[in-house]
Amino acid sequence: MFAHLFGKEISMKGAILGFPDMDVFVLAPVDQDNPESPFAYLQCLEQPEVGFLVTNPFVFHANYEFQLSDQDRSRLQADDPGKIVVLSIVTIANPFFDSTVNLLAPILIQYEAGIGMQTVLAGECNYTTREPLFRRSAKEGGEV
Amino acid sequence: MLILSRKKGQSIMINDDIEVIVVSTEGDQVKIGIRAPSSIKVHRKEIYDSIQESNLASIAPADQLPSLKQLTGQALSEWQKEK
Repeated sequence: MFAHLFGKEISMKGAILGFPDMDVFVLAPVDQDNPESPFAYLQCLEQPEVGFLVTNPFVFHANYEFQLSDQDRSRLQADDPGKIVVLSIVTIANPFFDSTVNLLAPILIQYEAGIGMQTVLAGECNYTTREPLFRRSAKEGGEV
Repeated sequence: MLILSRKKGQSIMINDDIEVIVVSTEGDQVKIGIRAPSSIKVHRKEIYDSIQESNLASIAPADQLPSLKQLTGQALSEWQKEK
């Protein structure tokens, strides 16, 4: 799913909120045996201990949508929005099936130029930083 | 930090295209209007704070990668069964 991105250096220039000093990140596979896995590992090259599990949010939230701002598009040098890959950071829970995903602040990567950023979606959107990843919390499962 | 006093209805200009207006005040609540070009991002600071917090809580050290492979693989097959 992300094979064309693996190993490519992505310059974030501090745009991952909370990590103002971190620039260069690299995307690596989580499961080499499954090229269709919607998960990947985004690791900071400067501080390898900082890494995130990321996912393709559209796989789990098929109706996910947002407007790409002109400002973000120009920062990403994306004349063609088709060059942008959208990733969401996963907050891992135990059990893993209860993990959540940040739909409020997706990571956008323009892979041709190797530029990335975390953007904050406009105030009108209803997404949060902790949406269920698999859409079934343990509690809901018990109520069925 | 620049600190200014404004009355209800008064505003300040930032550059020549961003206007911040004091719309009303009620007790310790201040209603603020912001007129800015669409290219300017305006968010409540709590939104930024919550995203920073979420990012920090989401750090997955690289030594977890082998277990992530197993966890994501299991969860995916469980999820696909339920779909």
